[in-house]
Order: sequence, then structure tokens, then C-alpha cells
Amino acid sequence: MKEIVRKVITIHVNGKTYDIPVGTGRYEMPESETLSHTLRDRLGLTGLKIGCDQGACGCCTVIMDGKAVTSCMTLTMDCDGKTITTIEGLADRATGELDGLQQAFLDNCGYQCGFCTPGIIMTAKAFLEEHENPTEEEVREALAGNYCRCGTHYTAVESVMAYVQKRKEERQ
Amino acid sequence: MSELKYVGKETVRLLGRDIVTGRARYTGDFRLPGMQYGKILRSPHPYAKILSIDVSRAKALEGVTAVVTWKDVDRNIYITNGFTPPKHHHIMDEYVRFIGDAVALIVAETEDLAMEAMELINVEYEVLKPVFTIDEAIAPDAPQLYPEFPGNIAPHKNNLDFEVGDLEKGFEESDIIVEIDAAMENGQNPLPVEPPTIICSYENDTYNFIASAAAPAYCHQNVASSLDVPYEQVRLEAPAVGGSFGSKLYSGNVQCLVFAAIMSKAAHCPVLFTYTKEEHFGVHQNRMSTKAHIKFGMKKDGMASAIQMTQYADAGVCASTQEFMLAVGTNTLPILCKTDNKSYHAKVVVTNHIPSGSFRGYGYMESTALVSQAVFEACEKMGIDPVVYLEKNAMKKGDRYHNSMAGDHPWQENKTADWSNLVTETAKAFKWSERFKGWGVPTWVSPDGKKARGVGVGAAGHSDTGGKPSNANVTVTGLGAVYLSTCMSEFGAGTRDVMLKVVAEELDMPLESIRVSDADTGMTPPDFGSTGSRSTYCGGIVAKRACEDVKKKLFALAHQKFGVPEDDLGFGNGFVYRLSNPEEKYGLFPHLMGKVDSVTGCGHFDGVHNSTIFHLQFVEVEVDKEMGTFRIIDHFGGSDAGVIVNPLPLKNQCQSFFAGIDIACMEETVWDPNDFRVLNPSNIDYKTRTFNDVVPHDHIILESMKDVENDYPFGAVGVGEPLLAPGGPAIRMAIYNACQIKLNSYPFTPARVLKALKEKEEQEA
Repeated sequence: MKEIVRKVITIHVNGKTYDIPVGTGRYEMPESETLSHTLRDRLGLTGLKIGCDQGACGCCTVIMDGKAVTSCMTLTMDCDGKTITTIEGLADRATGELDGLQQAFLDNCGYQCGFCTPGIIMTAKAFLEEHENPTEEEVREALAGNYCRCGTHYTAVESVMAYVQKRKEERQ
Repeated sequence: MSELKYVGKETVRLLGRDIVTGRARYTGDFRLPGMQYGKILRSPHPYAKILSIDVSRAKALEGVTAVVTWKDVDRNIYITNGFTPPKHHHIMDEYVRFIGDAVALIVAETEDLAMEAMELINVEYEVLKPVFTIDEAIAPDAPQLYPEFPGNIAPHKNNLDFEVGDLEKGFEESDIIVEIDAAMENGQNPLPVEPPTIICSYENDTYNFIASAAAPAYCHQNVASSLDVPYEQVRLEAPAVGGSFGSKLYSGNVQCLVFAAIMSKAAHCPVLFTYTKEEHFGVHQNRMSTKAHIKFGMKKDGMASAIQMTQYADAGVCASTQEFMLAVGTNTLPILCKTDNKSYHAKVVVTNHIPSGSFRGYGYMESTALVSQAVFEACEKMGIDPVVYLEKNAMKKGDRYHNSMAGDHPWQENKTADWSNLVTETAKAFKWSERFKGWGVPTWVSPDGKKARGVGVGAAGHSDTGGKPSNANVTVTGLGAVYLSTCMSEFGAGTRDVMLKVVAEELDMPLESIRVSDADTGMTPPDFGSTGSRSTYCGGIVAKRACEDVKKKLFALAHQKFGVPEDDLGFGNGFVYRLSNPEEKYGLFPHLMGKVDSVTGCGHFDGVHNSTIFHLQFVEVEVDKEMGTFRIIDHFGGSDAGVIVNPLPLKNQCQSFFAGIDIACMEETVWDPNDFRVLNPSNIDYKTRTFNDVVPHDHIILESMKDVENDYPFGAVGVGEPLLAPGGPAIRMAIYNACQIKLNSYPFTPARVLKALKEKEEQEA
């Protein structure tokens, strides 16, 4: 048996802590690896999608320390100590109850093929954490980096606005 | 008609919960044991001969499992459907014929290793002179791409040459005849967000695919033909599909599946092969470039009297599905021009660039743009209101029309809807008659004269939604569980939900008791698939027929066991009951069958040639004459669903028109004129509609089959496919009405608008 000194990146994802060894060996993470691949291939969190791998479609969006980031444009090496939420982390972990935003997308059919939907939900989620009562126009601006070919441009935004309205009523 | 319990009621889509939680599984989410990754070394030249290729260093790299070149591939593997056109395109060849053609396939433990191995391959090329456009390809001394295609023309078997009626008389009786040359050159990309992604695992003499495929059995057939193996040596399962828009139909360009198959067989392991976005743009498939010469005659009352059309389609490097697209595209003739006097001739040409292929609006998106231009020209010259033209020329129910796709029986009678009525209703809802001020007359001009608005309309459709077979089976078990077996895949429209609701409705069983099978061609009967808006009709009707067959068998059982007359029996909620006395019931178990037992019904549909589909869109645009820009200030659509099955998913379909209007507004594959490589292969450089740039939109959806005798599944017809085709022509007309310029090249960039405005000024001066 050998003992070695190795670099490790620690990330906290959906309430769990992961230590990921870095290096050039078969089971180690190369320094060039992006967060999207780490989450999908090493942690099995395939809810985020890689649509373009060019930072232009938003399908790979996750929330890192409260901000929406395109995980395909983020090196995992830059995420040491970060707290990350993926689409899998939105629903209640114990009961499976959907987050209100997810429920709004279901109720309003704010999805079609669904490939871009996790990214849209995560982008909107991060935005709504910082904006209590946004206008539809502000929501559209927030989603400007999310590409959808099916044309959910109306129903996805209606879903977000329905959630905004419901949240407002609940908090009053 | 009795009250429907499930059809038309809002329910969460089958995949809905999985989509919003990230649990829906797309092809790229699967990880099979021992799975490795495939990559392709691609040609840097548009046309060249491979003189030598050395892969020894790549093969020696640790972690590389297989490297395949053209020399290793069976010469019988072509891209082909086994029917037409003649086999010509080897999956890998001594010649590379476009920038991006496959030179070597690499399988390795990781994608990174495969990319590294690529660097270690040495290739020596002899560069040849290429042809890039239709005109270059058919020029007398043009370089030849394939020995099978003299003159670079792909021989076809579809009916692309016909003349019916009395053309000469039709033109004689015309009050106006226009002749135009029209083209679509920009090679738009269907661009589903999920790139083509395939997993293949070669086991037990079978190529097992998990594939992002929109029409699994159709794709399966084309892949088997291409690999030159019997049908049963392929199996294909389509999980959730991340959008298709024609590009995952695999009606022609099955290259990515064949590559994955070869890789898997060579590497002896499952292989995941996914295109990068750059490959998705640069090598997969574009909408075809096409050009036409059209002679169109019209009477002064706005009735079409004759049309003559010759068309060329650019197949790019591989001729496959384009002739079928042209054939479907001929449906635009009866859809837009109510005349029996017509002739059509077309040819498919091969060139040295990315293959072209299907894009939502399979062939008729293209022909709609071309024919609309001629119709527009004639109406403008005669001062005919375009809505009046469409009302007069759109088919009514029962109208006889010529469907060139219908083999020996081309004269069909439209059985679907009164499309003329849809034109009237949609125009009324848009307030067309108040807003259209005449040809070339703006609806509004800014006080400084720099901005002007105009309205326009476009219509499209086809007449062959059902001309292909479908099959589905329904099994009812002793304990009342229902299994629907279909290979119809789901790529966003809610097709599988339509079939589910039809089963629930026909069997009168709760939705919760029904399970829909995976779209797995190894376990379900073949179905032509969800193409051409046929899945609601054809998928629905076979689901319904399978249920009817189940009931027939259950009634026979009840008769056999209890002596009750079969014609006095009904079925619902898991019971066979007497129609004359609904209290007399026979349960599945124990009366009719065992607990672990079942009855299976089969549903088959041959397809028909008299089912039509039609859709139209109105727009109002505002042109900034100083900047050359324009924006859509109103957009309005009209569809007829027959009877609505899934209300919200249908609304989504009716709002999925962006790639259509953006033919005119922004979308363009930019070619390098020197080598025809794609210069904008990214989601940033290829411009598409963003969430903060939506247009004001509304639509109407008619339900013309409600309470009307029909042979559709509970009256439901497809709606989605034609949503793209009317956008470009409507905008072209609206811009003309705003500022009297005719734009002939899509998209209508500021440079093109300004150039046309300048030319108009010069002409006037």
C-alpha cells in the first residue's frame, strides 16, 4: 500500500459534501474539468443538461452561492468550498414535495421537450431569491441567456409569474 | 356525441414531473456498464482524396480502444433507406466530400483521450476542386461527386414529375400570369437544444441503440438498411428527446447512428457518441437550399387558374430524404392554389457541403415560401386582397384535389376541415379587413416618415398526414391494468399523452390504470412515428382501434363463458356489462380471465391520402427605414385541432412559431464562400429568438370536428408541424406593405432592407 499527498476539491451539493481528488490518474478529476461534467459524470446529477457547452444555452445552469451560473463555463477547480444547488436539490429532500416554482411549471405546462427546463427553473429560482416582486419584463431579461427551441417563451414566463403571484399571496 | 371524460381535460403530461425535477432521462444521461466515448476526426477540405492515413500512434495511446478508417469499414455500408436514391454515400470513403466529413472514428475511455488520439493521426490528402451551389453542381464541366450521380444529379423514385389538368387552357383563361425565380439559400438549422446523441451497444448480433430519435421505427429501418443488416439486427429505444424539429427524424441522415454502430462493434463495448454544438451546426443537417422557377396564372376574381413549377433541391453531400421533402412540398400546390391545371418538375443535386434534410415543415416550408412569392406577385398586380385569395383558394371539406403523393389515386377529397373557414375566422380575429389598406399601403407612418408599419399573411399546410402505417397494441390484465405498447416517442408535443387519453376514453378506464410503453422498437410494433403532424391522428386511431379489438375479444369471452350476446355488451371501469341492463356485470377477474392473465388488442392503420392540415399567420411589422431594421409588433395564428385533446400542450404547440418568423428576422447559417464551412457554429453566433425578445402574440384554435361525424380519434387532428412555414412569407408581405420593397433573400437583414430601399428610391427618382 502506498500513501500519497493529493489535491482535493470540496464542494457542497444539495446538502451533501463531496471531496473530489484532482490529478491525471484514471479516477481523478483533471484540472480542466468543468463543473457540468463533475456534477453529471462524477456525482450522477444528470438533471442539468449540456446543450451547447459554449455558455450560450443555459441548460447547465446551477445555483452556486446564491447565483445562477452556467456550469459548462465554470471550472470545478474554481469551486472549492462552494455551495451548489442543482435541479435535483429543489424539491423537499424528505417528502419529495416540489418547490413552488417547479409546481408552477407543472401547473402551467411551462415546458415542452423539457431539455432546457431545468436550466430555466434554476435561472429563475436564483433570480427570484433576489427579486421579491419582479415584473414580467424583468423575468424575461433574467431568462435571456436560456435557449429554448420549442417556444416555451410564453408559458415558461407565465409559470414564473404564477409562482411570483402565489408566493406574494402566501407571504401576505 | 357523449360527454368526453379524458379527451380535452387538462392533466399533467406523462413526463411533466420528471422534467421539472430533472429526472427525465435523455440519451446523454444514460451510463451503461463499460461504456466508452466516440469522437470523429473530420476533413478540413471540402473535397479531397485520402492518399494515406496513419493511425498507429493513436491506437497505441493508453485508453484508446478502437480507431476506424474507411479501409476498415464494410463497403456495403452506405447512408440509404434501401429504396431511393441509388446507394452512393459510403459512411466512410477514400474521398472526403465536405468540411467535416469523417476521416477516422476513435473510441476511448474518455472523450478527452479520444480528442488527444485525434492529434496523433496523420493524413495526406490530394485536394480536389469542389462544387458548392446548385448552379455550380449542374454546370457542364462541373467536378463530379459520385460515379452513381452523373451531372451531380441524384436519380429519384418519388413522383417529382407530373402534369395534370390542362395547363395551356389554364394559362389562356388567366387574367394575369406572373413568372418568378425564387430561392431559399440560407440553410437554416433546426437546432434542437439537445444535439444528436446516440448510444450503441453491439451484442448478440444486434445493434442496440438508445437514441434521441423522433421516429424510432422509421429511423430503425433506415439504420438497418444503411448497415446492410436485417431489420431484427437493430433495436432502438428513444427515451425523452430534447427536441427534433425534423433534425432527429432520421429519415435520411442517419450518419450519427451508423457511426455509433461501427464504433461499438469495433470497440466491443457500448459507445456514447454525441455531437458538440460545433458539429451539430457544421456536419449534422441543415434545411435544404432550394430554388424554383414558377409560372402562375390567376383570374381577376382571385381564383388560381394554372401553375407550373420547376424546382432544384441542394442535398449537400448526401442525397437521401430531399426527394421525399420535395414530394411532400408539392402539396403546397393544392393547399395554396385551387386549380387542377398544374405541372411540377424537380431535381435533387449533390454538392460539397453539409447534408441537408428535414426541418419542421418537411419540404413544404420551402415550397410555401417559393409559391407564396408568385401568389403575392399576382395578387399585388391585380389588386386582390391576399385574404380574399386565401379564402377562395383554401380547400373546403369535400373538395377534390390532386395529391401527387397518393400513387395511383392522386385525386382525393379533403376529409378534414373547411380551411377556407379557418382563413375567414382567423382574419376576423386579427381584424384584417380594418388593418389591410391595400397593396403597398402602410397601416401607419411616423410623423417624421422614418418608420412605417404594414400587415401581411402567410398560409401553409400539406395533404398527406396519414399516408403511412401505424400500429399499437393494448393489453388489459385480469386485475384491470392497461398497457399501451407503442414506439411513438416524445419530443415535446405531448404525443404520448394524446394516445394515453384516447385509450382511457375508449376503454373508459382511469388514466392512472394505464401505462405507456417505452418507445422501444424491440418490444413494440412498428409505427411510422411522430412526423408531419400525423401522430395525433395515426397514433390516436391505432390506440383507439387496439382498444376496440380488446373489447371485441372480451365480449367474445363473455359470450363464450356466460352465453350473453356480444352485441349487447359494453366495457368500462374494468367490467363487461349488458347494454340492456348495465347492472349485469362481468369482472375481468375472476369472470373472464385469471388474475395473472390478459387480453391483447391490436390497432393497425394503413394511412390515408385525403387528410389535410392547414395553418395561417398574420403579422404586423414596423420598419425603421433609416436603420433598415424591423420589428414584429403583432403576430396572430389560426389552427384547427378538430377536437382538442391536451389543451396546454396544444397552446405550447401553437406558440412554437419562432423558428418560422426568424427565417425572415435573423436565422442564417453563414457559409464561408471559399470552402462552404459553417462560419457561425455556435449558439451565440447563430442568432435565435431570446426570452426578452418575444413578439406580441395571440391565436385561435378551432374545433371543427366537435359534434361532427368523422373518422378521426374522437375528432382530433394534428396541428403542430406547419407552425413554421407561414412566418417568412407573412413578414415579406408585411414589409412590402410598410415600405414597398420586395425582399428576395432570407433573412431580411438591415443591409438587405437598406439596399432595397435605396434601389426603390433610385427607381422612383
